[in-house]
Amino acid sequence: MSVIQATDLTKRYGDTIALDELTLSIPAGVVYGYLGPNGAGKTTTMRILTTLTQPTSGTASINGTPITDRTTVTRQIGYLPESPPLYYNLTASEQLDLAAGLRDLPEEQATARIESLLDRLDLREDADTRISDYSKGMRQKTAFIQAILHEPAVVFLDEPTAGLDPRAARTLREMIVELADEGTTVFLSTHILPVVEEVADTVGVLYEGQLVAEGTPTELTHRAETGGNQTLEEAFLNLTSDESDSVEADEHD
Amino acid sequence: MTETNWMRHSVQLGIVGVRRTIRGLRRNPYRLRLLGISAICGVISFGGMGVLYALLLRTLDAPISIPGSVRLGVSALWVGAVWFFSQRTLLYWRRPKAEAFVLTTVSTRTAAVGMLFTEFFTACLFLVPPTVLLVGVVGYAFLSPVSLLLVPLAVGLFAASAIVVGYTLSFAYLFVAARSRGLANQQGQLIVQFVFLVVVGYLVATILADLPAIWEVTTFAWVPMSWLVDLAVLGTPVTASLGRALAGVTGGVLVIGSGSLVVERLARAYWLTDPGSTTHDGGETTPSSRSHDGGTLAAGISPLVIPEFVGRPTQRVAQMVLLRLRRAPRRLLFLVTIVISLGIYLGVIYVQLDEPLALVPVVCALLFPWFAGAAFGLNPLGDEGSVLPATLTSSISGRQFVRGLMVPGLLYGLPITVLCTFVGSIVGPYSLRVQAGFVVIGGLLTVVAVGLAPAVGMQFPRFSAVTIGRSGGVVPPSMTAIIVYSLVVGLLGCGTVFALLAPASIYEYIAGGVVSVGMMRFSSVVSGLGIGLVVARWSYRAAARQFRRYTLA
Repeated sequence: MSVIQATDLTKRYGDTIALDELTLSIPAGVVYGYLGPNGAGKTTTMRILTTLTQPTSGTASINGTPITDRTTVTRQIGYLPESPPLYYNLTASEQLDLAAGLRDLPEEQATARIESLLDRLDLREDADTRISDYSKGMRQKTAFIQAILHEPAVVFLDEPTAGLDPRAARTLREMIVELADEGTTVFLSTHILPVVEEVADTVGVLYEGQLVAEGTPTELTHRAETGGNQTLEEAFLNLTSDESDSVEADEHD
Repeated sequence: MTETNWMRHSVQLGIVGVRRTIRGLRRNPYRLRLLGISAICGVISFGGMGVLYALLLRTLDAPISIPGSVRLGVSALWVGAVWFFSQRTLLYWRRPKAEAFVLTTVSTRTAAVGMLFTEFFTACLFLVPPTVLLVGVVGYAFLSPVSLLLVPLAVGLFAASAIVVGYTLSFAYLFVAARSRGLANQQGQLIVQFVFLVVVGYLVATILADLPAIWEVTTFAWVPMSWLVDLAVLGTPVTASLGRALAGVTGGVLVIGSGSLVVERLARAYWLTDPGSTTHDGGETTPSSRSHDGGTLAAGISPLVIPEFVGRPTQRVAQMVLLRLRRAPRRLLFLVTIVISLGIYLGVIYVQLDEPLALVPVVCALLFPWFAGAAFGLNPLGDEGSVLPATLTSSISGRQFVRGLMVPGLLYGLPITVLCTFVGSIVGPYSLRVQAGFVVIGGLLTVVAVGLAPAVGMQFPRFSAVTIGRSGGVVPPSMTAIIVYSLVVGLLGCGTVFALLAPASIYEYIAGGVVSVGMMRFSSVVSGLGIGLVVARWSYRAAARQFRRYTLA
């Protein structure tokens, strides 16, 4: 069964089409790498799937719940947008305590989980420091903990490793894989292609609002035009260049 | 499916919100000190008056009824509070803070009601001293223990209903604006504000200046919010209507309940509107934000011009200041709010004067300079937003930057002030010498205000986020900057105008026959202006130094 299901999702901003009949079907427990150049519609997709924006047309559901049912959907998702959604004049402990409280997590269980995640991401010592005094990476880690604190069925991550030092980035990649192993579906949008190559089970490539390719990283690299030992980066560039349109058109002809 | 425990979650958000406000205050010692001084001054002055009234009331034997003017005052105060909170919504609370977190964690109802709780708790923070004072005065005057409960209840209902109605109006406006290009752009917003100003001005004029009115002052006895007065004085010798008091409570609760529901609906519709159709700061839609100005700053501000002789870096800063204002006139909203408040106050004075036109040149000579400085340079660092690091590391000197901030005020504010003050002084009942005095004061006070604003704005900047690099959108100047700037300009201006208009007897007393009254008056005005110019020069240098040494947090 698909945990994330989107059918013909379209989003228009005036005359601009941000998403053009996007159809996705993502099963449970996978890391779905969502790639696309700037302006391809990645953030719009995430905002629609997290209920923050309504689609112009089309339908989508999370774990079988239509995205129109915000209350039920938001219980099942965690979202880390590109800019960490934190109150800067709270400490990380306070912020996470608030997140746990708003989600009605049992207090003891929440405290234990917060402490274990703070430990895991090396934030324990700074947990009582105001977020305004944090580095970008520390904020990113705090926001990541906030997104997965309630053990959601689906986690949407927008550039989660941006601003992290190599050690923290590695920890985060490991945690993403662990989440998927435990059955969480991870919807991962990033420009850092090696991250996708390393952790993603399936990759979707979005270009001008349309899903132009989907498959495992290996499949995508093999499907690239020139064949041979391509990297995902080369495959991505190939798929999202204007020439790819004409090649596809030629193939259809 | 509805969210369980939504009320508890809303209160939680409110508590976190007010905690953040308190921390923000504690991080801003200047503002904290100003608040402390204001609170102490308020308690001393109003407390003193209250004690005097209380002593008077205790001696009265005759029954006391609630005068119509008190109801009028309460109703007007409530309308003012609604306006204040609607402005706060438009400036700070269009969307929840940490929006992506809040909206994917709790329902929109919780988020919206959480905002209302945050605002209410914050209001309570500031209302505690006056409420304690009021309880003390009422309790002491009437020895009425029930006032300990009813006065805070009335104040709470007053504040909560004003907050809810203010938010309802703002979100209704935002909801419509998000679907209308005409209203979505910032000029549209300014027009709405202006229309409000005109309507409020007319209403004040009808009440105060005996213009054809659509109501009598006694009509305010029927405004539900004025019934909270009846509630506050229940159990005291003041004759109050129990029916009205109960209706006031019921009405207040109904307004709060139904208003919250409307706020939730409107906020949900607004928050989930296409974020691409209007920018978060209410700017224009993406397609129409494309510039057709020819690509240069000079073309962008046309037909206004900044002359070449000021030097290219200064010219560019000045052009940028004007362009920013043209593209985002919502920056002027904070001034509009102050002007409305001041206008109402001046309206009251105007109708009480035997020679009301005497007020016109005074207002022109004080208000126009204040506006000229505040409009362009009261938050220069915050206005730079995310560009600030680039500006600080550019080769522009502090003096060039500050001059650039001052040029628009001097180039456009100064002639307008001089012209308006000149016209105002002609219509006033003044001699030619005094008329000339007003024009000189207006002109030089503009120079002072324009020189002072950047220094105050740099000392008390406001950014849209803690990290300057993340700052974006329209950021009004900090309250501290507005207060400090207004105090200095106001004191210098009022002092000089007083020196110009003071009765001859005062000068005769001071001079003691040694110097002529005319000479004494002249030297007083010149001294006032001289002090102002010294302050302006010092401010200019201080701002330049501040810019050169400014480091990012």
